[in-house]
Amino acid sequence: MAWERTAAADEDAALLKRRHPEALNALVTRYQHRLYRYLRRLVGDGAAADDLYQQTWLRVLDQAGRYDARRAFEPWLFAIAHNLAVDHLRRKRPGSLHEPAAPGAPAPVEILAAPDDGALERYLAGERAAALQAALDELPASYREVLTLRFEQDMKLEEIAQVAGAPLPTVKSRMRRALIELRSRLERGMREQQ
Amino acid sequence: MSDHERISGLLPLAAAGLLDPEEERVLRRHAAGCADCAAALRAWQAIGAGFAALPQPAVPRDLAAATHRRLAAALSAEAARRWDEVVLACLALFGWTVGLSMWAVYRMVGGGYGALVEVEWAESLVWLTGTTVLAWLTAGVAAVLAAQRRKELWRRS
Repeated sequence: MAWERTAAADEDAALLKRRHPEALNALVTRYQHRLYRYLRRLVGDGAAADDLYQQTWLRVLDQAGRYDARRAFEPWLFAIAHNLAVDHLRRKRPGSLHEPAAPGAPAPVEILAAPDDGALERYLAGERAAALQAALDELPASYREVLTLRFEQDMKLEEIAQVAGAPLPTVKSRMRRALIELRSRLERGMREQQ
Repeated sequence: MSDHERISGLLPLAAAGLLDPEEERVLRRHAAGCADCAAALRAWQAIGAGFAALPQPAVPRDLAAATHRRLAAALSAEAARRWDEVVLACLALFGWTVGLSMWAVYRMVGGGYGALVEVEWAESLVWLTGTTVLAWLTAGVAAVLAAQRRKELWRRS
């Protein structure tokens, strides 16, 4: 099903190169949920996500000539959205993009050697959505981005790297740190509730 | 680094399904014989699975329609711009053609067909300058008109 959806999107994207209005409209409709959700997770604010969504498609139209129809459309589209969202965040909240520790620094050992995995598992089973949402909202945008691309958009590591415009090892390390940071915040939330 | 520490380091990426086959194999083999790591793996997997339960932000009802409208306006502005470019090129060509034809007509009226090949350089230079200025003025006026039209279209979109 997902393969069929992507193949159809790639067909429309090939027509996009010829600036086919129907193909463009079909892509806008097809990606409205996924692209909007991605932008919303990244920038947080609904009005900004709305505007960025529209700007993304205007940019797609502008850069349609540069799209290589032999490559997948989805990472190309999300990369355009990523660049616009990053520019927006730089203007509005410069600090929100920063990762808490320098890339490549050792992961917090106290989290890797978590004391009570069972308690966390039980906590998540009970309050999974609310707890995860709260912890996710606290993360820097670059961490939220890799997590949403992997877990909600179901992208492969290579695709995430293409969207984020970063090398594979950087994205892998960012993903690891994002998960550790997320877990740390979940555990803090769990302790506060107890 | 002990085997246990190495396995702990793999757990977050295991939750994301991003281990390579060899790492995956090592992790599974270790977790099968280590209750602590197996529990840790389950906790990490619970975090990964939690994303499926996240509330999804509702897409504004008119988002797609508003985007379609903006794209249609952009496409029509682009078509108008392309049309302006064609008109501009035609006008410039027209200016040059008129200028050069007038020179030929003037020479023929003044001295017959033979005058076309009996070039007087001073006179030709005046004509060439005159027709060039005429052509560029025509193109300049067309460019100003096209720019004004484009600005108007942009304002409307």
